[in-house]
Amino acid sequence: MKRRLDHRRLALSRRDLLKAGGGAAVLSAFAAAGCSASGEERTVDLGSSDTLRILTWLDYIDPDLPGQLQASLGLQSLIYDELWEDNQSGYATWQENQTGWDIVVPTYWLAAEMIDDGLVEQIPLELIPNHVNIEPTYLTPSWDRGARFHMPWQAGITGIAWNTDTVNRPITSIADLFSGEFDGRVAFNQEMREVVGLAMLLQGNDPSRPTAASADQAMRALEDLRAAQQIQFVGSTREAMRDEQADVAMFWSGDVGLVALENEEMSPDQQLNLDFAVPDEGGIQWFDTMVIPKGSPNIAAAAAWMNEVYRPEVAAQITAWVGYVSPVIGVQDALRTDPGLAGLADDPLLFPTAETRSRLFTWGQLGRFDGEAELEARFQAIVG
Amino acid sequence: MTTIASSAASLTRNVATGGLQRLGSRPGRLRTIAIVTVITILVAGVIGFLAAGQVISNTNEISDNTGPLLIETQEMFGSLAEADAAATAAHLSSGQRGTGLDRQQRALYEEALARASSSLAAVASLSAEDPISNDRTLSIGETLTRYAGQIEASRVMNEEGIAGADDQLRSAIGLLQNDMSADVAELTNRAQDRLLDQIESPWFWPSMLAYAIAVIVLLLVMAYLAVRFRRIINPPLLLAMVVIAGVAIWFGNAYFTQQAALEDARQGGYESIKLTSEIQREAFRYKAAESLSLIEGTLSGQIPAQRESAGRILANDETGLIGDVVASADSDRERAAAVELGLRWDRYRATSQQVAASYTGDGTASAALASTTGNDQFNGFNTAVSSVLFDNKLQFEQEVEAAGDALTWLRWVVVGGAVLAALLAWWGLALRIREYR
Repeated sequence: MKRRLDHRRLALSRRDLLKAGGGAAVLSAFAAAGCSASGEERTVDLGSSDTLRILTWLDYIDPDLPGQLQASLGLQSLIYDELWEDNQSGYATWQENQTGWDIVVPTYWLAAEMIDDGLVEQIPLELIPNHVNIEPTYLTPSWDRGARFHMPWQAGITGIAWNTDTVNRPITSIADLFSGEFDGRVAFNQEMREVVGLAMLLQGNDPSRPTAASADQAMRALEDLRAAQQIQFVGSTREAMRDEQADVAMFWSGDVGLVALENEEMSPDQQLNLDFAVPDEGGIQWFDTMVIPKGSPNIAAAAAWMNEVYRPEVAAQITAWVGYVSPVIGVQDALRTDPGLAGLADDPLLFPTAETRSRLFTWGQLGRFDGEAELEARFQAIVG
Repeated sequence: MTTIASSAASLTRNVATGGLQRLGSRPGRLRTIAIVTVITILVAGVIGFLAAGQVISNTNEISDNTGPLLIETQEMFGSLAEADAAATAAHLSSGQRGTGLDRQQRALYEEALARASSSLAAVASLSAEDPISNDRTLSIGETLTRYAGQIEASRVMNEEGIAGADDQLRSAIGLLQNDMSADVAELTNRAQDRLLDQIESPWFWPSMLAYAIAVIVLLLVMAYLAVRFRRIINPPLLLAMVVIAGVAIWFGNAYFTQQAALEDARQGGYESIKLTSEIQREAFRYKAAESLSLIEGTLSGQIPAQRESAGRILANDETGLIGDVVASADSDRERAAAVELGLRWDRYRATSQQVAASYTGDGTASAALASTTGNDQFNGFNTAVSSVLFDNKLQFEQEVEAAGDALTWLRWVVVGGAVLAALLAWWGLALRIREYR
């Protein structure tokens, strides 16, 4: 069995850091699992043919958890590839070897396209009794009512973050990102639906019901700003702020906690102090979701994994580490029962209030054959 | 004149006598037997062909029309129930108008209404040939238009603070609950009756009888030849009999396989679809009653007995409809979906009880709970219904497809078999006739 984990994740177990104040426990856990602590990508041979292979995003699970779940599920082999850097490149990676993974974790709109294209297996409901723990709001998308082909992994909010050391006022409006006030030190990520969605909100349009006209209007604003070098597009807005390329950025809610974790390992002068807000105009809501690619030879193992991560206790462990909104019913209660994590149960970024939720918009999709592909191409041209 | 008349009469008599003699002669008798045998075989073939045609056409009808009609009807009603829940939630959250909650509920309402309209279009196209179903579909279309209009009027009146918004909504809910529900029930009943009619094929047994007669005729002919010609076996005739018997066995096998598959489709697929739709209707009634009591301000502390008893009809145990779905699930997957359905209903019902328990003053807190968590839970339940429906639909379609597969080649076998058997029979008798030349 092989397990590959990016070394950067090994240094960061939020749960353990929160509990024990350091990353030693994480490293020791991996050492116990037979991992060596050197090299950029580690490979552990557990000498078995039973394999579960997962292709997912970087920094998206408590690094202890794959090992724990492997043991509890009796998997002889777990390959956990954190190669999904964004939906474009992640999908391309998967396309190169479509039977190479048993679970992939695209963002919801891409999952919808994969389902539409018949690239995804139906979820074996009979093997996943914890399917009942999916929050109902994730059951209603028109592209997969009842979540028969996908199981949400985490949901997030795209809002605004600003460096409180360099920006001396709260940045709570999308207008601030577009104002030119920060002289190009404004970072956007490369997810078209989020960037265009924010621009649409600024223009008073509803990204949950995009039209070709409203999308075009938003795109023109972005093209102008880019031409005037007022904004930059980066792979990770967290890293751009950490590297002092940007003072203000569109930001994923889960990255706020990650920055706090990173800060704990840094000297005070290296720390990134930031604040986060859901913009006055509204924020973008999204979720990434687990799907089983067609032809996976390990569907039962994939189902066992899905079932396990939908146990509230396990989901709470994930939530505590990744800092995103969990789609699993019972996570808040599970956090409350853990003295070390109880404080997270009232974190508004993990459990948004009704007021916050009312200001969140999920990109409604133009329709892939109805202009969205062109919009994506146009966006990629801006991003360069 | 007398001579001529006498000659003509004599000629007529001679011709008639000659004909009878020829018929009475062995070759003549054999020719007659050959004609009768071939006709018997061909008649059996024609009856078999008609029966096969009926069986195939019924199966195609179930696959292309009756099945989809039943499923689309249920899906349409499910979508309308969801649309109504969202519209009511948007109405109840009027205090949060202009906020995302209002927007999200409205988006859900519009999506569900669009789905219902799309299902209605499918139902209309599928029921076009049945005048009564067509009338019901037209009526549903009219009700749907009125319903959407009333919901829109209620929304605008609510926004503008015009009195009567509640009445509009109440009337809209009534339209769905009464008029539409009755039309959907009738449409479903007619489609069900049609399904039962189409499963039966009255021509099958007559065709078996015809084949049996053909086999008996062939046996008698062989017996006659054996007695008259001392030829125990006439290979072509024997072959003809084997062909006819083979065709009958093939037909019987195809028919019983088709019947078994259709029975599975009915029991495992359609009966479950029917049960699921009953659940959907009862649940919608329960939800609509909650919405109405919130709008009318008649909720107080606990769920009224009438609604509570409606809730019990659905119960997730051996006494309720959801319990029936769980019990009748015939695959692990279906059972898992049914169990989820039950759990999600229980969650909704628990929230509904909280809504009632928290009702105080003007009912704002209850309305907020009903239009947020309550509605989420109801939508969760409704999508679980969709999921069960999806599985049942899949099972139904697979079984109907299996029924269709059982009939592949049937027409060719029936026609080809009859022609071959007729030729063989003719040949077999021609061999004997030739012996007289």
